[in-house]
Order: sequence, then C-alpha cells, then structure tokens
Amino acid sequence: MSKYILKRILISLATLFVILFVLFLMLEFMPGSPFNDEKLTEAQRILLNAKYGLDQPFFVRFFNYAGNMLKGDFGVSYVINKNFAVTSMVVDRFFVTIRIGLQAMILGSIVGLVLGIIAAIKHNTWVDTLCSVISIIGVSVPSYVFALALAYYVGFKMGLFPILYNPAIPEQSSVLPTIALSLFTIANVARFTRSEMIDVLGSDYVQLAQSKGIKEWKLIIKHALRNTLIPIITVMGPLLVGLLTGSMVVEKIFGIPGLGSLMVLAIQNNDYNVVIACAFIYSALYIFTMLIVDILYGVIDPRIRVAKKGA
Amino acid sequence: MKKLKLLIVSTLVFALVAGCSSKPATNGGTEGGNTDGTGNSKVVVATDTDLSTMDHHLATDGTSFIAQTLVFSGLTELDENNMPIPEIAESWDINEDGTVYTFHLADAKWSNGTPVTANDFVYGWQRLIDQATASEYAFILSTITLKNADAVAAGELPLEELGVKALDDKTLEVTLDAPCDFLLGLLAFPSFFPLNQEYYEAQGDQYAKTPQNMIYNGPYLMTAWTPGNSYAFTKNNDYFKADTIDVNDIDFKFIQDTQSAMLEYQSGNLDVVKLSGEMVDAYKDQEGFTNRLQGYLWYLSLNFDIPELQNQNLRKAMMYAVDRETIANNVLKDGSVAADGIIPIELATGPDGKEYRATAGKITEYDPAKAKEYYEKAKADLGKDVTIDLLFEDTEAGKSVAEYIQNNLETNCPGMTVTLNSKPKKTRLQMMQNGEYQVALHRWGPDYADPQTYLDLFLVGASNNYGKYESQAYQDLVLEATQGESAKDSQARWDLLVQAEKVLVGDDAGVIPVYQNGGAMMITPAVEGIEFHSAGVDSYRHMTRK
Repeated sequence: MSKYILKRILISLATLFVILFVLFLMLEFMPGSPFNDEKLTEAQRILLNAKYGLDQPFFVRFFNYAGNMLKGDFGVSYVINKNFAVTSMVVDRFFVTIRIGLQAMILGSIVGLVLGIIAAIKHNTWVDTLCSVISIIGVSVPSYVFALALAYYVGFKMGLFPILYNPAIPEQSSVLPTIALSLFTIANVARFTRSEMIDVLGSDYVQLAQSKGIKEWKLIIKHALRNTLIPIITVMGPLLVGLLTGSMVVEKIFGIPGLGSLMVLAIQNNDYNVVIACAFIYSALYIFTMLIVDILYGVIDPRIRVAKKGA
Repeated sequence: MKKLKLLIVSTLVFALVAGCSSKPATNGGTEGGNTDGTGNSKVVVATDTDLSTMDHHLATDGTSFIAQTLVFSGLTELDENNMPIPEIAESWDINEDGTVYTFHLADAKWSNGTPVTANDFVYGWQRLIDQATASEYAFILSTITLKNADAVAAGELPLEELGVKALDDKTLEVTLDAPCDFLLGLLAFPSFFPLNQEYYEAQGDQYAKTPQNMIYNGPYLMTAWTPGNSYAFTKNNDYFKADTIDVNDIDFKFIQDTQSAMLEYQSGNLDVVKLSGEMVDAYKDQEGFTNRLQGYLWYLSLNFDIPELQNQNLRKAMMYAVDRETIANNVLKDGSVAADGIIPIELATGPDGKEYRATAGKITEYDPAKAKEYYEKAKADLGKDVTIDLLFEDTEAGKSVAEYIQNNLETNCPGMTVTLNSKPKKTRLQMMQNGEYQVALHRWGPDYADPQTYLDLFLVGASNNYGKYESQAYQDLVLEATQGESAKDSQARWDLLVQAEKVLVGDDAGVIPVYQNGGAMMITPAVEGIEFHSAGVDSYRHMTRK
C-alpha cells in the first residue's frame, strides 16, 4: 500500500512540473503584455520588461520561477495588486475559496444523500419523481442563475442573509454562496445515491438481512448505505475540485475575494505570475484530491487494495 | 477493523475541513452606509475594478487614482468645472514666456507631523522619471515639456538635472522647455503628487502595501484595505483644510457584478453604483440616476497601408455612413454621446473661456445620400466594390457597435462588404501595433485636459499612430501650435488646434470618430458633490451627505 502511495505521489509531482511548464509556455504565446498596452511607448515597454525580468530568455525565466516557487515565492503581481507578493495574495484568497467550497461540499453531500436515499426507498412514487425533478433542475440550471435568484429573493427581498461576502462576518455572509454552489453537488450526489441504493437494495445480502427482520432504517444505514458510498466517494473528488474551480461566477456575484475570480482577472490582465500561481494551485488541488480519493477508495473497499497489491 | 477504517476516513475528512476553516485575519469592511447616529456621515461606493496600488507613481488605473486623490494632495486640484485651483501651492508666479513657474506652498503637514516641503515634490518627480521606478506614467513629465525630462528619462542626465528645484522649503521652481497651457490642471494628477523621501526610504519595498506603510497629506487617511474585497478612508483631522471636509468615512467595495451591486444599493447598503448599459432603461427615471461623460473617445482607426483606404472618397463615404446618434442613443444607451470630432466634449476649455467643442463645432455628419455619392466615386476610382475587415473588442458594447457600423456601411454604401473580426482587447491592441488590421474600433482616453492629447496621436512617427496617417498640412498645423512660435500665444495655439482637427477629420477623413463614452450611475440622493472629470481623476473629496 505505502509503495503504491509513494509511487502515486511521485507521479503527481512530475505531473505538476509538466503542468507548470505548459502554463509558462501558454503564457508565452498570450498576446499583449501585463502593462498598459494602450499608452506605452516601445522604450517604456523595454524598461518595464527589464525591471521585471521579462526580457530574459524563456528557459531562464522558467527555471528561475520554478526555483523560487520551491521557496514559496510566486513572484509579484504586475497589475491586480501591483508589486504585491503573489504568494500572500493567493493564500488569503485560497482559504476563502476552500472555506466556501467545503461548506458547499458538506451541505451538498448531506442533502444529496438524504434526497437520494428517500428517492430510492420510495422508488417509483411521487416522492421519487420529485427528487428526480430537483436533481435535473440542479444539474441543468447554471449556477449564476441560481446565485442571482438567491441574491434577489433571499438576500434582497427577504433580507435573511447579506448578499455580499464580508470578511468580518464570514459565517453569515457565506451562507448564500454556499447554497448557490451546493446545488450542483446536491443534484449529482442525489442521482448517484438513488441509482446505487436501488441496486444495493435489490442485492442478495440486503434481501437476506430483510428476511432476518432487521428494521428498515437500520438496514439502510448499516448495510445498504455503506456499499452505496463507494461509488459516491469516487465522484466526490471531482465534484469537490469542480466546486473549487467552478466557483468563479458565484464569487463574482457575491463579491467573494476568492481564487476563481482572481484567476479570471489575472488572465484578462496578463498578470502572468498570478495566472501561473492560481492555475498551479488548482492543478495541485485536483491532483491532491484525486490522490486522496484513490487512497480512500482502497481503505473502504478491500477488493481494490488486494487487486493493487497483486498489480 | 471495520470501525478503524471508518475512523480513518472520518478523521481524514475532519482534518481536511478543520485545516481549511482557519481564515486569514482581515480588516473588516463595515456594514452599509449612511449616518451612524452621532452625526458622523459615511458614504459607501461600489467599484467594479479592484484597487491596484496606493503608490501614486506606479498607478495606471482610475480606481487607484481616485483612492490616491483622497489621501494625497498635489500642488493644485481641479474644481467642479475642470479648472485648476490652489491646493498645496497657495499661489504661483509665471515668468513672461510661460516657461518658469514658481509655486509658493501652504503650511501643510504629512500625517506623521512633518511639514510638506518643496523637496517632497522634487523627490516625487525624480522618482517618477527614475528608470529604477519604471513608472508607466513617466512620460507625463515630457508631456509638460519639463526641462531635461527626455534626457533624464533616457538615463543620459542625472535625476538632479530635472527641471524641478526647491528654492527653499516652501518655494518650488518648475522650468519648462516650452509654454504649457494645461500645466496647472495637470498638476492635480496623482503622478505629480509629492513623496516624503525620509519616510519612503525607511519603508523600503513595503511602501504603500498596507495603510500602515503610508503617510498622507490629503483630506483622508486610509484605514483598511482587504485586496479583492474592500478599502476604507476616514477624515484626516491634520489636513490643512480639514474644516472643508464634510463626509467622515468613505468605504469602497469591490463588486464586479453590477446586478448584485444594484441590489445592495436598493437595500440602502451602497450609495454610489455604476450601471451597465442594459440596466439604464430600468433605472433612468429613478431619483439618483446620474449620467456622466467620460473622456474616452471611440473611433475607427484606418490603416493607410491598405490601398483602398488611401482613397479619400472611400474614407469620406465611411465618415458619412456612420449614424453616430443612433449608436449612442439606441445601441449603447449608457449615456454615451455621438462624437462630433476627434476631441471629446467637456475635455478642454480655451483661452477665451469657451469649451473646445463649442468653438470647433460639429465636424462629423451622418448623411446617407452623401455616403452613397462618395462611395460611387470611390468605386469608380478603385474599379471595384470594397470589402473591409472591421477589428473590434470582444465586449458586449464592442460587438453591438461593430455590428451596427457594419450595417451602416453596407446599407449606406451599396455594394460594400464589411467582415467582422472580434478579438480580446490585448490581442486587438497587438494587432494594431503590428499594423495587422484594416479598420479597427479603437479608443483613446485623454492624459490631460487639452486637445493635444488626441491630436498628437496622428503625427508622423507617433507611437500610437497605428494606421500611419500622414498629412503635411496637419503636421504643420499641430507642430506650429505645440512647438512653433504660436505655442507662446494661447489663442493662436488654440485656433491652430481647431484647424488641425478640421483637416484630420473633416477634409481628410483620416480617422472616423464614433462616440464618446458615457457612464450611467446611481447615486443616493442624499449624497452630493462628487466631481466627475472627463480628463482628470474623479474627486470624492468634496462630497456632502445630507
């Protein structure tokens, strides 16, 4: 097991290095400069490029940057917060994004699981149909529509929660974005739970347990749910990453100083170091989450562990 | 064993959640606006771009300039009519040929108690032009023809040779190469603000990174700054004219989404909000709706390397074919106005006290019949119908305007074909710089309140003359006005600039002006006195709140 994990970690690190190189290469081909292209003269552009070391050859810049990154230095921002260390900009926003992403994940999985279980138990009744409709709406309604509707009805009309994120009161002001983000997770988890649960409920061992006279709720929680969870955990990883990376629109609507909106701004402004830092963190998150999911998968399902040992 | 595994799983999940729930310490933006009951008034402003820097020599964007204008004071400031009035400089003398300005400074203080001296200005200007600073606004010292500015900028002369000297603590002497009619107005611009050498050097590269790494000499102090979220100011009681300041606290909130911002405005949590074009119809009849003109002028830049565009008849046909009024009033609907020339409205005032456009009049004209007539001539000259490619920015406004112009040209010049070419802004600019375009919808924002900021663009060799427009008559007029004998006579200079615009836009159709940007806003009716300057920095210094 530990050999397997070590191998996976090494592959992950190599992947990250390749990603960093590709990012650098893509920015190289991005038109324009981080500076005011509309007004600058050629002489000033040369001066600015020299000041920030952008006049160096590609490989020199790449290896300098990679070397500094190992020391936790992602360079400085050229546009968004001029001359600020990107590391501090990104760290602050990272925690905000993670906070809201995880809150949405937890809310989404709990509600999704409950909906899915109810739908499975009440298979082919109106309750099931209702849950399916909610799922379909959740998957198909774009998050910004739902976010705007929440902002309008819950935030503005009812005045229950603040519309804008306020770092002074993160608990209250993150309620609306959390709900807005969780919709997609609710829908996905509910769908998976329902279909898995229906399969599991029809399986021999559940029928055996049933015939032994075990109470329904105990049967669901103890026997059926555990087996239902295995495939769901696999989709949770990508869903979590989806929440973290897909929160840009929600961040914009609720004024959240998060990583997603920062990355979009950075791309629009050619703020190279910020783009690289954000994209790199997202990639690292993705790879890390996948790694965790793989490990968890092995922990939960002994068959996989055995199979991997053999491999 | 089973329980152990479950324990591991739940511990991992818990650790992930717990590890990430710790939040960084932030300076809280306070809750929404209005008065707090003790008579202390507050105004909350929404901004759709984040504050980039408080270092006034590095700033390039309006949001940063507005914030800097709140906390720093320059030699002059602009009044509500765009005219310069004394600020740190309480008076000034100008020598006979208009090249030496002597400023007498008021008794103003920095927020650490040290007096604001002439040397603070000298040091500030030297830092602005220093190659080590690499300021994107260093050029502005050459714009005012400050003595030795070009040579110092190029590193050929030491900083001390720059034409700005402290005669004593309270007297500043500025020497120019040529008279500069717009100097006093331009001195209200943040690039010209002073910098306290001792304090700045003590801060090193931490200068202006947080409110604690700055000292102020303006009407407000910065109290909080959470990048990506908000920043706030409170009245500076040590400001030398503190008794003229009404509003105690000003908060800025960075909100990218105009719809959320409007919800906050309607909830009473925000006082000043920008509207997007499509929201104007819904709010234009409400109290608080404000339309302000911006200096940005959008025009069709023509590439003279394209043989068809060298044909004057074709250019004139295009000039007559564009229906500017409809573009401004029905397509954009955001307070934009049709461009009567290449110089925007409310940009500059002449020596006779008249607004520039009032003197220069309307040069552009929408006339389908004339468009058709000139297009027929062009077709005869060129021997074929014309197809042109129109490059524009991939924004909502850019797309709608470009599509409307396409329709105008194809309808009013029967036989002409216009292909649309949408590109992101940075790409569009790069293509224009490389001359890889035919016709482009391009904009220019003024650097100072004078027609020269636009007319210089079309001189031979000007770095922004992307289309390589070349006209001897135009060149002679502009150079005589700005560098010749007439430069010393304000009225003669003004008349020449008016003539030059007529040659460029009217006679040659060397550029096709389209519209001037407007900005629709909602401002809480209780808040008054926000000064919008189309060629300068908007001022929130003299706001009042009822």
